Amino acid sequence: MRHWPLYGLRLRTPRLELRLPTMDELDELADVADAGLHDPGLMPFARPWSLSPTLGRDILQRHLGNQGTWRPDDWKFNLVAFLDGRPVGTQGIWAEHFAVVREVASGSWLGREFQGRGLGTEMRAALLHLAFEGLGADSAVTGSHPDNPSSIGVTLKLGYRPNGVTYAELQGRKVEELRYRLDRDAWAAHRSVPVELEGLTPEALRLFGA
Amino acid sequence: MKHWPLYDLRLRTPRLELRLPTLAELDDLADVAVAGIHDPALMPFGFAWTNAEPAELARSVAQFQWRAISQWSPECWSLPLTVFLDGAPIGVQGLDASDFAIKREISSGSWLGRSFQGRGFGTEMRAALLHLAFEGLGALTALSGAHTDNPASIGVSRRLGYLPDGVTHKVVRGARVEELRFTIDRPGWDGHRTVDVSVEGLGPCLELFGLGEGR
Repeated sequence: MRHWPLYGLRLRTPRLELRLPTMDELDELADVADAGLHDPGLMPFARPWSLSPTLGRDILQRHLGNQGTWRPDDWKFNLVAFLDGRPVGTQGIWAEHFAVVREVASGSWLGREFQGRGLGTEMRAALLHLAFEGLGADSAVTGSHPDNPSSIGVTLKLGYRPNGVTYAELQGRKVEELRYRLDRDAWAAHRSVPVELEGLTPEALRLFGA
Repeated sequence: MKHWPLYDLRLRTPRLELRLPTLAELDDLADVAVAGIHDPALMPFGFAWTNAEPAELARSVAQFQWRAISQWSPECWSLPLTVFLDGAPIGVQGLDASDFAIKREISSGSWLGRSFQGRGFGTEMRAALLHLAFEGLGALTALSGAHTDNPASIGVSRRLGYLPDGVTHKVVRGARVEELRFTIDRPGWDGHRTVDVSVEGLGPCLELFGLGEGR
């Protein structure tokens, strides 16, 4: 798409491509979510959105909403991860006043049948490459509930350090969230996944406020 | 699209098709807006979105579409249908409603690329939307509004049987502007139908319009 410069942006890892989806691919992504994202007995997300009876529709709306409300000083970039040309999950990266703060936050999900194969690490490595190498971030942050070892595993493998805890309400219960932070030096020291970045044009950089 | 059946909703008139656009078509629609919608000395819209510089204006056309879909709920929705002539976008015909299941009232707004104006397309677009509203969705009334210096829009409203419904005032580009309001009810619509309209793919969308089972 010519008028939304982010459609030309692509990240490639050994097994994945991360980019914005077409409308049909968004439909397929919704199917992946419908097929299940996690053990129904656990809730890895800060809000229980994965239990919505209209999950597929919600995912499509949220994706388009990120683009519809995008501003250079407040954006959320929701990349879709493709394995062999098929969507398997999303890797989101967001920031407010990135031009000044130079920090991004991230969150992701991966269809259940694609978990346990190291794809989450490749997705996060791709996003960190975009943030540090492409956008010139100084730091990246993320968070996980203590009962989400796969997310924490990805975080630690890529060099993030613990950054305190926070508490929130989730489904009527108090839950702990472990916070992590990664600065540029630690990122560079832990790079193990080769990532190619394409299509980060001057127009795209302006949209990121970078 | 399985998860968003509105993408399969289609309205057809003798010369036009109205439906949601693909991403590539959204690009082309944005080009139509950038090429110009109205005399720059006038501002037919309540929000002066056409004042933006070209790249930003093009992005705003796309972002408007995305916001409409992303903020959609059966209780409050806005459907900006792209108007196609010979397969290419020429403008937008939007309809929106809140609590439609109870109020049975919609309002509409539209724009048409300047090079496509003066050929009766505006009337066909609005006729298509009224057909969807009254025939497809069971609306009882439809509303529209136009600034006093927009005779083309006022002409479409009059031709299709809308009646004057008072005035309201708005601030546009820092100045007080009068807006003429129009309304049409079901008998008024039925008495002025002149454009053949067909609707396809509405069934799976009814729930999204607030008309689903159990509502």
